[in-house]
Amino acid sequence: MTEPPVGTASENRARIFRLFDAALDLEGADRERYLHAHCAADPALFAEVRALLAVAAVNGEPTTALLGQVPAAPTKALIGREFGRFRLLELIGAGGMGVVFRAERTDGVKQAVAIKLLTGELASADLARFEREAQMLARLEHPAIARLIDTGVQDGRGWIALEFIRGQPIDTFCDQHRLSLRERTRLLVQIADAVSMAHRMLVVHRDIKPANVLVNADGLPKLIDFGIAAALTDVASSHLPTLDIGRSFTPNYAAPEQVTGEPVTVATDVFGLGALAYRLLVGRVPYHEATSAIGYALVITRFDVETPSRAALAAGMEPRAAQQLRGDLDAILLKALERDPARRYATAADLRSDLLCYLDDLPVVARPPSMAYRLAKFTRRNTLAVGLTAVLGVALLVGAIVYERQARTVAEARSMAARRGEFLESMLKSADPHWGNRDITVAQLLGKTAEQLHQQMSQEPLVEASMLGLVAETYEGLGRFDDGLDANSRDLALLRSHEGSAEDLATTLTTRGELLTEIGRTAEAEAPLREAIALLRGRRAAVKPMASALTELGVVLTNTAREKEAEEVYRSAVDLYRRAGDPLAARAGYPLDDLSVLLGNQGRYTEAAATSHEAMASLNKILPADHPDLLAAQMNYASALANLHQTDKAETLFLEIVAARSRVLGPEHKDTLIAQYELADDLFEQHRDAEATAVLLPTAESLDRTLGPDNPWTLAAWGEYGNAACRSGQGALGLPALRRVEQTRMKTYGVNDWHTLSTGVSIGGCLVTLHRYADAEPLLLQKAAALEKERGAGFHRTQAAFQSLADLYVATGRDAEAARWKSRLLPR
Amino acid sequence: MLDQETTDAELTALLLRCSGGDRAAFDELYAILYRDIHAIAVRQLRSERHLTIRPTALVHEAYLRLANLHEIRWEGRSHLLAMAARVTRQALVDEARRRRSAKRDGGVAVTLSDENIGGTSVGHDALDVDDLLTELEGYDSVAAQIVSLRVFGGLSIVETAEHLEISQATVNRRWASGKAWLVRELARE
Repeated sequence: MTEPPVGTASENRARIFRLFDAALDLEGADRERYLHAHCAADPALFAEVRALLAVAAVNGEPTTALLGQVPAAPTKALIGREFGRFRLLELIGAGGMGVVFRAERTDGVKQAVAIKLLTGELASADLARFEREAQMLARLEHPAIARLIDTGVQDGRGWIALEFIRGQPIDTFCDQHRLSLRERTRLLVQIADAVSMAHRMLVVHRDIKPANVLVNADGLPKLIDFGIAAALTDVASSHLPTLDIGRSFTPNYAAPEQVTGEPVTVATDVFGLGALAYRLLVGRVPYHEATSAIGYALVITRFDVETPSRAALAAGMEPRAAQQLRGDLDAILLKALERDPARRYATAADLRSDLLCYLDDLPVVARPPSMAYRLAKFTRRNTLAVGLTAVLGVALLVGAIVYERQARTVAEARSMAARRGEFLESMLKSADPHWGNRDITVAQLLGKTAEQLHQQMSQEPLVEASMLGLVAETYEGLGRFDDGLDANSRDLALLRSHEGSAEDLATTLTTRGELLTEIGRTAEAEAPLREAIALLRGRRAAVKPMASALTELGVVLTNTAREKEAEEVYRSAVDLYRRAGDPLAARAGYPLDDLSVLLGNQGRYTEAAATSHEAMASLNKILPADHPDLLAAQMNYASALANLHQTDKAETLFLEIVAARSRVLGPEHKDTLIAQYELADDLFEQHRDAEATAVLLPTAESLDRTLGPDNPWTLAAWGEYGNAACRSGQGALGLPALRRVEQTRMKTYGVNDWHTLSTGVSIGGCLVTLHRYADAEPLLLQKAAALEKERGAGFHRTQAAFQSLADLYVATGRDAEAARWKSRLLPR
Repeated sequence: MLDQETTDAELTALLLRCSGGDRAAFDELYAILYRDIHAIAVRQLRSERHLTIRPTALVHEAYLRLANLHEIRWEGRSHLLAMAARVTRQALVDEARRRRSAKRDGGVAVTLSDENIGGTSVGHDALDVDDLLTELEGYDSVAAQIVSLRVFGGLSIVETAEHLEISQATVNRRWASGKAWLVRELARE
């Protein structure tokens, strides 16, 4: 057969298009008649036109679904199919991620359910992830959140069953029932409460809009699709054959950072709540209504949100009604809808509380913009990879670190501050995206600052030193201790060679002690701290630097096993602060907090809990909620509770702390990771081993990267991972992790240190789970004896050794021995 | 990038001239947008995470760079979007040709998406898409223009109608034909 001439093929294609195009305007029998009249003679032509019509027939479907293969199982064919204990009844919606069906239970129980089916098959790695995300969502229980009932995977497709809500979208509901402003506000409070609860569980909604808030017959609002967007986006984007920077967002309600593809945080939901509130209270969306994503990107970047009261008036609301929006509601909405996430309400709970204040006629929180916001804005760019729950971003407030340097005169202090301010300002400008440096991070900014300081400030060594002090502390806050130490060394050298004041020198020395401790060079930390204390001795005014130096010395002493001396040092710092009276007295919370850690290490848990509670109460007086130091105290309190086996209470606290730290410090910050570790430890205590393992693996890996493999926290996380893995039947993974930890600890602490011995106990316990009793028995006997000698029989790790021995003998049927070890276990 | 080569003030002036209908200003803006969008595309292709390009995302990014230019007249937006669509198509095709001749196999894959629905799909060769749209031009130039605007510029039905100065119903109708044809042809590979 010969190829047809090119012209003919081309003409043929044009003809196909024209026939198809004409047939598209016809329906039913008319179309059939037309096709027969024009194509009947040519079966190939007929087939082509039919194929085109078939594609066009699914015009309502996303183009994207069409661009792939036409779905193997058309959605309608799925009706009647069973997924888990549910049967699909009716297609009720479709979106980019999947399709939604109304479904019923197959076991006779009457329950209306909405089933979401993911489009496309999932790879096995994605399935695990899908299930993990689903588990998180299953924990969201709130009267204003549609409950997740079940999830599963069938034929490689993930599905999610949700409570089926019969109701109207909230905007329709409010308008049809002509709800008053206050009634609408009350609905919003309930929704904000639900969102805030979810945030505490580390879930961000990402897509708050009227269509996702249904109001049922009882007038109760229900948020639907909670976190589904997140779970589905993550899974879907990783399984697609082509990678895509896919930002999907809903025009008119998405936050600016969603449009620009920056990290989604709790602040994104605050914006979503604000946009929803704007729609309900003003009657229109916050920006010019956009019909497409790109149109929305344009308005959101070009225009500002119009003041609600003015917008309402312009939209035709009665002047008296619009007047009600003026003042408080104007302020609340504008704050929630700030373009810069750092300037919005920090949490959904804050927004809720302001709405309540409005309802109760109490003053609402109003904060004018300040330099701190600008700093926070750039700090946000320091955000690292999205962590555990793939949701939370960073907003470390560098500005929160108020750096006070002693200056000889007031005028000198002012000029120093002004110069420092100017310099910082110029540095920040260089990081402003509008100036072209879009991707600069705070860390880079600080690096640049440290570099340029010398060139620009060399004539004023003490100003340079003061800036270096700020740089060092900021690095410390960011967890970049080596860089902090560099800046600190330069600061110290300048102060020494230019006769800086004793207070300045002492403060710099104390920072040095802190930095050295943080990177594990504890032995070197002692000398600068003792020098600082000597410099300050006898100076009445120097309460704060003195107490800080003492507190840090206490930490060093604790870490070098001089616990008795450490306790004395902490207590003298507490006294120093308390004798100084308010406002310094509240700072006693700092040494109290460290003291509680020491008490906990010694197994004095009741004292530890009381002390950390006292620390928390003190710090609460001087620090805002979410302040890292306050969170640290909360965490020590939670740990003490966990040690007292009040695991439920501790878990709630840990979850809150992880959420807050992720938000404030970032998901990869050391303190966030440590909180995660503590949370996992608590789960482990509750024998929720699989959950603990799931949290510990990413935590340990991140700690490896951020603090290094030899860091005590990294080792603790790997050790705990080993324990959890062994106990959940994954001894093959757990055992090598434990052996690595033991080796490293042997090197740093020595063979008979309790940390090392404790790992030995874990290894023994793991061997028991692997049924390697002959290996486990001598090991456990030896570690139990050594630990008892070192820390006493009541020490929790000694007890763990006894428990493992008891387990071993039970498993091997040696009842007498089992009973003997059991009798040595202390009652919980 | 845009901000380095052209100052904000120059750009603002240019946009103002465009909205006043100045033809030369349009050409100049086209050149600037081209440079910017092409650079973004090349950068995305270089980072291994983006083997495929979503044209509308390019346009988003290019627009975000213009974010602080408040002076642009709002009525002009659909024309600016249309220009971005043309620029994006041209930049992707150029880059695909360059890559093909440089024997980095694969050229440029683009993901086409309907911005009104969202979501993603398999990638298609930018040159195939361009060839097909050129072919469609021969059968139905309005449909071809609509598909190009929506696929490469992310214009909505309303914006497309505004730009082409035809009714929304016509846009919907021609879009249905053009889209179905393109989808069918791409599925043939």
